[in-house]
Amino acid sequence: MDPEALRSASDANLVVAIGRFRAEALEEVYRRHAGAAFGLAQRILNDRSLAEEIVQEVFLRLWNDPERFDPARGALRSFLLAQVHGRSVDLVRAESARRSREEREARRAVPVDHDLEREVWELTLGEHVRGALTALTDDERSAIELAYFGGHSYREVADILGQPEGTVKSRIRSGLGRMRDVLKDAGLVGAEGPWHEH
Amino acid sequence: MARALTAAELEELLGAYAIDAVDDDERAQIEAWLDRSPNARRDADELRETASLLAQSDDDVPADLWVRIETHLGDPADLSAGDQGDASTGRGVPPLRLGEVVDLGARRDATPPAARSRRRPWLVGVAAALALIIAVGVGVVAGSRLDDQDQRIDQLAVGMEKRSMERAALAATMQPGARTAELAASDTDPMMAKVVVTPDGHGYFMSDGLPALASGRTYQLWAVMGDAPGSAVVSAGVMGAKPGVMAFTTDAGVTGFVVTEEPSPGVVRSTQPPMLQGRLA
Repeated sequence: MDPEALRSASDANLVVAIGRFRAEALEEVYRRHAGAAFGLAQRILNDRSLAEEIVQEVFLRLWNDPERFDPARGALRSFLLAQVHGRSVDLVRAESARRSREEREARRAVPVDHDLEREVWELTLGEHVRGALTALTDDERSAIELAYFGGHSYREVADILGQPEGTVKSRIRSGLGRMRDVLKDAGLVGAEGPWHEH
Repeated sequence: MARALTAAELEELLGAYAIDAVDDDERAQIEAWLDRSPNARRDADELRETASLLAQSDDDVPADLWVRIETHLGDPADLSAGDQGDASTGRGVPPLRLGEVVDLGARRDATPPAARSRRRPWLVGVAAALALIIAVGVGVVAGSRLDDQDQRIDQLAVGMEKRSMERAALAATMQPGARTAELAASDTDPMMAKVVVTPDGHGYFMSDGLPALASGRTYQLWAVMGDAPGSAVVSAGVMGAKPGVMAFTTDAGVTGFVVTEEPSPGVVRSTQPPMLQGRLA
């Protein structure tokens, strides 16, 4: 596959090429999505070296098991980010990682800033995502950001916010659901999403 | 083991599940539920995709990270864990097991071309023998990888085709003049499948949670032609043991659809009672 064809290939075609053991296809997927993957892992783990390991693991897993990506269930970018998120949260919740992270945070003496609006400000899709975020109540936003970027379970979020578990659970559900509806109407989620193949 | 969650509780937890904020026991129950409910699975996928849009800001990736990944591309996949976990999150995958960081630049520097050219002549014979052994070994591995490759490409192709079919079915549903039939075991049972027929006779069958049949059995779709008792019923397609979305063509006179379970590869005329049926609206 020549470099120009690689650049213009869809994500789905690149995954098929990865299935044929074409390393340059994986490199192109890496070029497109590693930045977001690394950014998410680093945000959750607050540790560059662990974030690098997670990104390395997720891309090697795509190389070894490309058939785990089901294009019917979403875009490749979402698939990769979901894996990065899941593995990062696993690490955060491991007691040793949690301890060292807390120690690092304490040393920095600066609270981790989970400002969703800042997080999405520079995105190409920022305007739409910001619009979707305005559909949330403050309580919904706090619950989602603590769980998603903080790597906390909803029970831990309830503890942190001093709210009942059931309330937090509902707020995450309703908040994400409302965001989904707004982004879906804008054609950013679902079959017409920005990272889907057309 | 925690208590079994109710359907309402599972639904309520879907948001937390989509952002990995549930505990292991809850996750296991939710995933078992998602396996049974395609609608809930679609919901979970969309919520996860929504969450992923929050994380689109790129960070500067360390310059040597790709080199490290590339170094490991030839490593065999670790299949020892057995449980491959949930494909969408990487959960249940083996713990991080990464090789040492290799500085390829340093490695290349350590063996300059001049040094390689000064190898002793007798080493050439040993190297040739080793090369032969390695070549045989690589041949065996390559054969096995080709088998893997065929399987991988088949699975990927199925995924792509399925998605393209789903898109076509969705487009048909929205086409002006399209008629739909909701198929259920009876009027009081929940819908298990939907059929849409466009004015030009293109039809799509969409399963909504039909259970997989045993080996050697298949679902078959029948079109009912007309309203009168004893109307002709013609086969619209054999759908396999676990149907998803299937395309077919039909006539403008079709008034409804019936699904039966048949021995594979299907029958010309069915003697089975309808499993599902529904009229075109």
